[in-house]
Amino acid sequence: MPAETDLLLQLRNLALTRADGLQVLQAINLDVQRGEIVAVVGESGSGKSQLLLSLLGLAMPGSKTGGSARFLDQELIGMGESQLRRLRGDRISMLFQDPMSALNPYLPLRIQLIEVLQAHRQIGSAQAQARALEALRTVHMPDPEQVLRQYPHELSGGMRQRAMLAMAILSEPDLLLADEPTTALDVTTQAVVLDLLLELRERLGMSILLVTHDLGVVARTADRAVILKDGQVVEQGSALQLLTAPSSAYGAQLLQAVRQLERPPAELDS
Amino acid sequence: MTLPPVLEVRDLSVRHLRRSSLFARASYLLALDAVSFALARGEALAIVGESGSGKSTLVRSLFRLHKPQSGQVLVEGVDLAILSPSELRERRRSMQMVFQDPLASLDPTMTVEQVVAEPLQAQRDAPEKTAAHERVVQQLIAVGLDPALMKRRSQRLSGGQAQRVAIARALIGNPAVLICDEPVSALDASLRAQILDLLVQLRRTRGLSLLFITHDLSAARYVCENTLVLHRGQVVERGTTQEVLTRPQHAFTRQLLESTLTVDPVLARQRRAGLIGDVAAR
Amino acid sequence: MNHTLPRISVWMLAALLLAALLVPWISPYDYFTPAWDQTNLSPALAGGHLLGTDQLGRDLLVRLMWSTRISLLVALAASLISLSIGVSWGVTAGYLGGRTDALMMRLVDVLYSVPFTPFVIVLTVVFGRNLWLLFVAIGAVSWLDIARIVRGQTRSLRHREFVVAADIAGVSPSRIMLRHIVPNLMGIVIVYLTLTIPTVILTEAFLSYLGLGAQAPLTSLGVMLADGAAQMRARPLMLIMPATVLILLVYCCNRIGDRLRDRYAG
Repeated sequence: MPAETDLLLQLRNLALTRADGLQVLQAINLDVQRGEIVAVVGESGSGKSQLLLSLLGLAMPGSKTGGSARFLDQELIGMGESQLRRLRGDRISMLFQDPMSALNPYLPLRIQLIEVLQAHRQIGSAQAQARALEALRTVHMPDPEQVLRQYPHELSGGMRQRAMLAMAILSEPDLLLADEPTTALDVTTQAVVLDLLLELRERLGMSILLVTHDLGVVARTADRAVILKDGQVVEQGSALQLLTAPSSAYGAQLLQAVRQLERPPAELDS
Repeated sequence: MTLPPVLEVRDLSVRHLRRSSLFARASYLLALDAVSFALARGEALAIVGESGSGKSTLVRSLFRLHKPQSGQVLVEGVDLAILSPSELRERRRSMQMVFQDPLASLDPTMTVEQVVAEPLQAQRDAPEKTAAHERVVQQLIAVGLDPALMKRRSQRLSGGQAQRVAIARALIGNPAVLICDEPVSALDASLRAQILDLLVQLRRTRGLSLLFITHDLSAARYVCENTLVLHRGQVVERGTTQEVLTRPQHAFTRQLLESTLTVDPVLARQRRAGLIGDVAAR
Repeated sequence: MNHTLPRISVWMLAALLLAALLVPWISPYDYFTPAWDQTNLSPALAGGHLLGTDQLGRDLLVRLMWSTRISLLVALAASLISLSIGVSWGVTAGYLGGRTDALMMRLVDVLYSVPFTPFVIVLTVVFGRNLWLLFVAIGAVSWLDIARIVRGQTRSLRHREFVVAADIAGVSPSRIMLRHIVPNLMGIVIVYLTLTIPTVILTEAFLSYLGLGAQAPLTSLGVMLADGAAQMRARPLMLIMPATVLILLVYCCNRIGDRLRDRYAG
């Protein structure tokens, strides 16, 4: 377990107000330790994706962010665009739900991977390519040399998400923000990608803030979890506690809904 | 069993034309490879598979939206291939469908009432207006919706409401078979059980046969007593759901089971450890 | 992105429409009766002829308003004709697909390659010059674009789940087209209507300028432009005025159409 003092991200009273005055997020308090996987759980409309985007200064245009978000010794809220851009894709990376829309369909992966590296570092093409290959091997991409020459549509869904993951870890970030990274994937692929996240955390020591609607994802991957409802934190604690004895009524209701499906109604069991 | 199955598929094969470029020689992808199964009256059968397994091709072939290369689809003992287009439309009425994305399956320009009443109007003996209205009201109540929603545009419904409307539309013509294509995977977890409960209940009260297409083994177990696993266009496993889940024979089924997420923390850690060894087994 | 309608264009178009609509009731003059004692008057506030008169003594402001009226009428009628042909053609081809689609769209391709101006000249030779012919000629040519666009949209709508759902529910193809495809095309259709109208206004002006369109004493923007061009050196205003109205009309329609396209047609 990571040392308790090694605080990577600290959110205090984080709030997000849309241009029309709607409070998307209210008074979010959340800590992420180094090497920790924290899940943000919520249903559609809970504001969970907006939480991630607001950390990167990518919230909807016209919206206002308030409160504080400290990443290491820097304050993210109110940070200038150019400074934020230096952090994005370098110290903080992002993994999206739909890899197809996050990749440029007209460029081979080699160029897209190298581009990310060269945006942040003075690095030669040959060196960058070597680094890209290494990242693809880290995510267990089969035949990485071949993949570098391919276009996104030539890969399967799982392979694409692996490529995205490779792109996200190129710069060995401290923090990976993942927005429903496995929702669009098949069951078998989903498990593989989730386990890959766990492995990367071990090997690279990075922290992951993982947005999901699925408590099963929490059970498989997360150390701690926060439950979000209507933009507010209703519960926060260890994943184990959340999955065995949730303290909030809403948490209990969510868990019950999933458990019910895992245990079929008695009359069909016979 | 003396009654014929309400739906029977015999040796159904469908191939798709695949061309990598304009000038490449055409090659065929076998989307369904000699798939057979029968659905008895009142039975609930799950067809479990991932993307590329041939699930969607199967669904489309059942309605003859695809022409199969070989094999037959028999609805209440009648081969769809021998029917004329208008006979086919009549015959399809005994087999209705609920889609994955409830909002996409409802015409955005229509109200709830128009959506639900549409199958009635398409019938040869369409009921007159007040009778149709009456049936829509009954149908909405049967799927647990407030009839006050009738005048609402379909795009202003929540996901759960929209899926109930889609179920009401499917059932208003009293079909024998209801085909559900991933009916809950686009919904929030807290709504899934409610919709599945509704399906289980409707099946019981109406003696409906269910063909439940899903990637989710737990949803399959919740609704269906029998399961068939489809992998790369082939049936790799079939039997009672209980058997398939407890004693899977095929490697793919086992992998599927291992990969299925669970909220049981102990089981979740076991499966995690099973896949990546001792790295995360802390 | 800013998706509010360009306000100035809307107001300007409304003013032009109002003038064109109300001119028979508000003007003290008509557009055709010559007044031999008042020919070639210059614009003046006094005397009742704000913009002056032409060489036959007809009030130019009134003629301008009538021209706008006729031009808009031709544009609207021709656009509606082209829209109804284009939408039904495109929806039918797109929904039925297969050989029907191929056949219908090849016909569109063939019509595309018919040169427009000679086509209209042949028509006027055969049927004589009249305004109705103009409607038909323009309408018959401008539906091609709409048919292509509508066909493309229909092909993607056809695979949308709500259309498949209707198909499965036993709804007949003609009813699906009418109840599901056409209503869902309305956004795009309205956008293309606002973009077709200015094109048709220009086409009408062009044909009338050549003398193939509206015939004297009836007037239209094209007719007035031709008249004005004849006296360009002596009275430049007679060319500038109809030209300004034409430009304003086309510009406003295009602006509004562009904005509607951003909003509804992606």
